[in-house]
Amino acid sequence: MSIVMPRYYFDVIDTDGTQTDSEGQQFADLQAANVEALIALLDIAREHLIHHVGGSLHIVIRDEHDHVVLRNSLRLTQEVTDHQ
Amino acid sequence: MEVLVASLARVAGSDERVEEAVRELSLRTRDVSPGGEIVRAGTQPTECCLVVDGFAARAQHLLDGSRQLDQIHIQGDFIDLHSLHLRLMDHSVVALGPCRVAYLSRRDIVEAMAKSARLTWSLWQATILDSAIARTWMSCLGRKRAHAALAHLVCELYNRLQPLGLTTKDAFLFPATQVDLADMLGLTPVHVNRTLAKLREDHLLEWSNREVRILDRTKLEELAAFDDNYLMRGRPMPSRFCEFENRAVNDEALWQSSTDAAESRRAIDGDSGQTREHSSRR
Repeated sequence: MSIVMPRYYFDVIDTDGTQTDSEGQQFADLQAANVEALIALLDIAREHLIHHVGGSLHIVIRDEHDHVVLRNSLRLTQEVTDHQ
Repeated sequence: MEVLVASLARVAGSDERVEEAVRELSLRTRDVSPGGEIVRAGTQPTECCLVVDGFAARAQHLLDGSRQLDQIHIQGDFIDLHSLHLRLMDHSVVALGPCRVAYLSRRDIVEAMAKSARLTWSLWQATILDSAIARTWMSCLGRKRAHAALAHLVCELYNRLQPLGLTTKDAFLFPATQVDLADMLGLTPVHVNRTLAKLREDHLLEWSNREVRILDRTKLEELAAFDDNYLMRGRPMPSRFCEFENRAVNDEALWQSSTDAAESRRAIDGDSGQTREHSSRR
């Protein structure tokens, strides 16, 4: 009766490089895994992009076969106007 | 039981009367496996529970399936002393790693408290420390970003475990999983992973195989903005109560010495003492 949930791996890529996830986490499906990835992306962005305006942040989701199944990206742009 | 005696001595100062009252309580112990529930939300507890060995965490389960761990209990901590005042438990307590707990009947505790004001005072102080830790967690969760919050957690644990002899010079065992950590800090495990990697990269701490190793304590405390004041370490505060107790004792002694004096005066004055006694009564 027990159903083994698939495991997904979340790599975080920022201006300093890639942090590879070797443990992964189990989720019911890719959609659930992606919600986790989006929350992580926005949380990390709050800490990272505040110091790296103009930089970008990505979270890549890999499946158990090491295939990249989804990529979320965030870029913060800032425009300084003449009226500052 | 010695675990509780030692823990109360740390919070409220050692006191023979408290120790005696505690040693008279009876308890039963239980070994809880990692992640196991020690106290369940919504139940009506008839016992109070104490950590004898290992770690436990207070857990609140949210409707969306997520969980917040809002405090860690270490050896000697009462997990749910406040349940004496609750009809129903409003939160659960889970074991982090293998945990041995002791159950004491609420009836026994209340009876012992009724007999010993000193014990009541000590237990009250234990709950004061509990709420000081909870306040600090709240401000960490609300205001500190991941690195500082994680650093703060490690500083707190080190400082709480050290007086129990559960640390080495710069390390301690803490069998929480990354999911547990994430639930303590209100982060995703992905974020916790990243934060741990960053702290390791900056040579502040290492967390592997359930062992936390502090690489640079000064810098870690700086990052965490850690101030151990709230842990009341080594500064038990029994003063107010002591004063009152001593005053009661002093009053008795004064009374005693004045009656002694009156009696000796009577002995010396012989018959004439009767008039003196009469006047002193007025």
